[in-house]
Amino acid sequence: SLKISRYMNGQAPPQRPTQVVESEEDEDEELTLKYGAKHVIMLFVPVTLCMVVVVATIKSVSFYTHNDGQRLIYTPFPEDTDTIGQRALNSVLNATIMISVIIVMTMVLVLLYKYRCYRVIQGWLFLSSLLLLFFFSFIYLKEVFKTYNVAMDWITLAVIVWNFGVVGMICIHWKGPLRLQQAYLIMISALMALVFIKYLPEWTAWLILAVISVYDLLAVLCPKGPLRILVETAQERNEPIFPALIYSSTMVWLVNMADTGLGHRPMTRKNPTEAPVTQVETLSLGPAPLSPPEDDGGFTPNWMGHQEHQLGPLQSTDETRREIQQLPSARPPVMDDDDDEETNEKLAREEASDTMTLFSHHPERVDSPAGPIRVFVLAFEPKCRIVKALKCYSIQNVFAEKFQLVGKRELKLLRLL
Amino acid sequence: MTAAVFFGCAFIAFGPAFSLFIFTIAKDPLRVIILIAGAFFWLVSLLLSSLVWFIATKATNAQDLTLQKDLLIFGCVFSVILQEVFRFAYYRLLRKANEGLAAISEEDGPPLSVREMAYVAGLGFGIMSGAFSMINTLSDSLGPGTVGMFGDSQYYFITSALMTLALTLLHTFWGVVFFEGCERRRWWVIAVVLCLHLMVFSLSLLNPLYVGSILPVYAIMLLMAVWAFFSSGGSLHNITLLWMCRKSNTETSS
Repeated sequence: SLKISRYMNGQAPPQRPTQVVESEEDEDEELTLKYGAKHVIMLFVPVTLCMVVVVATIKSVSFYTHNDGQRLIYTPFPEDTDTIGQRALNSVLNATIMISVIIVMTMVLVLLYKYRCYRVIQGWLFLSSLLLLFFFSFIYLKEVFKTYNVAMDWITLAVIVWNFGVVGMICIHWKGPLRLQQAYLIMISALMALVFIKYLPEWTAWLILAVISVYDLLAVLCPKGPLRILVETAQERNEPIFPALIYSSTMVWLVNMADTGLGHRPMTRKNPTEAPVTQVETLSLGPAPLSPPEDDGGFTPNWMGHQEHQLGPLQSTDETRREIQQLPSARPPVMDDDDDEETNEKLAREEASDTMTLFSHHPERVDSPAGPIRVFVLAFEPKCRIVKALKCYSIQNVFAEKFQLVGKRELKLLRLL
Repeated sequence: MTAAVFFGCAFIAFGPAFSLFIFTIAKDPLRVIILIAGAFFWLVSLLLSSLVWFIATKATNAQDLTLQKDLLIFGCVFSVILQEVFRFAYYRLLRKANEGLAAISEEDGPPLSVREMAYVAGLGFGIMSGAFSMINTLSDSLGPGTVGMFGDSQYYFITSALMTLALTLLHTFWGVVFFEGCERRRWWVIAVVLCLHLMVFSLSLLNPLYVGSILPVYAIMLLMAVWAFFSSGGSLHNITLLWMCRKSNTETSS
């Protein structure tokens, strides 16, 4: 919440004593550790499930282990050669070709994302998941029926495959129950793995496995790694990464709080030259959220236009920000409680006192939109006593009636004033 | 019949380990991580020792059966020694990690006691060892075939399953005792564990005389169970309390 307030008004963070900084870092580190352990475990389950499905299929359906002599175009070198040396060389060449293809495609994806060719990426992902969900699952079903000698008519098969595919597309690319989405992602991973097992020759497969693990680590952890660039760009723009690309263990929803309708949604504004207020950072919730992510909390465009008309410029511009930054802050002495959990509240309290100072110097600003936005943000901290303090200060009712606030892991409704 | 053998042997071999996992380890993510890491350490020790054996067999005459059997015995002895070395290495790693975790934890003291880690690490070793012993046998038991067609024993599958179960539990107990010995700096404990491991291995060489291998191994397992119980803080007092279904404040669970 502290970061949010800094985003919103562009004010430099107040000078903190170093002890507060250290304890906040320790707390962060410890939380990261506990968060990390739990989420590592949450990833064991889908990986194990995927492996179980693949192993069960391999053991029972012989189609996936028979070598038809067909190869993928990515691995043109055959492995049934005379000498072991030749075989090793062929597998190394195959692995090199495959890895280069993967690297090139990842770079293309990152470039497309950077230059905002979202349609191209969406079409690409749509097509590939279409292929997986319909074509490959059809082949899989066919082979399973063959193995167990089950007679099936085309009409039933068509209905089954159609339903499976369409529900999969909806779950992956749009919305759906979390468990169903996870199940579908596991299933398409298993289908992909089976395809690789069938068409990749043995030594090539093992070599690719080793090289791709190394490449993955590099791509995600190196500062110049393509996947890291992708994730960072997505975070900078406050956008979710494309859903078909990731497996999420919890729901991630964008909740636009004090969003004045700007950001990546194109809106008509009266003063297009003014700098837009940056969007509130996204947060992840545990259980399913109560409202769809496009809910702007009552700040409809009509309302914003009306307010602009009545009260003047909505956004905090560079000038207003500079003015605020140059204000002397009569900050009350920080209370000496060593409780680390109160750190955020302490700092929020400091921000609130800054706000009150500002309002006392410029009473007309209370009605200005810069006021409610800042108060809004400060009231974010669920345990903060500032809300009560500001309520007493009686800010004009420029808020919508109710909001959804997101605490650390809970969903709260708060009626403000 | 093959499905019955498959499921029966699978449950005999992995049932207790699986239920131990579900009831004591699955809830806590840190324990799961330590379990998986322990399994990985065992796997690495097996890999290194099998490399040694592989090189030895490739370098010698493949037709000489007695030589190959001797090489196998040598490879297994080397593997046992390497497993215990890796157990010690894992102990050192966990001690270091525990200190780090304790420093940044908000509760007083480390999140996992050394006894908990000993149990979890031992179970990790045991599960992986059991998996590697049993999986190929289980996979074969599904397929078409006749057991003991060339005059071998008919009880191959079930004795393999029983042996695997014994080894899994033995690894758990050895883990507990080993870590406790390292904590108290009683180095003779390590030597005893190593000797017991070698003894179990040499008993398994008596197969297919299963009476000679399974019964002594189970006897050793019971002795180890008692030793591990007393080593991890249990006492006759605790057992009597358990039987009387009375709860005591001083009763701690390791």
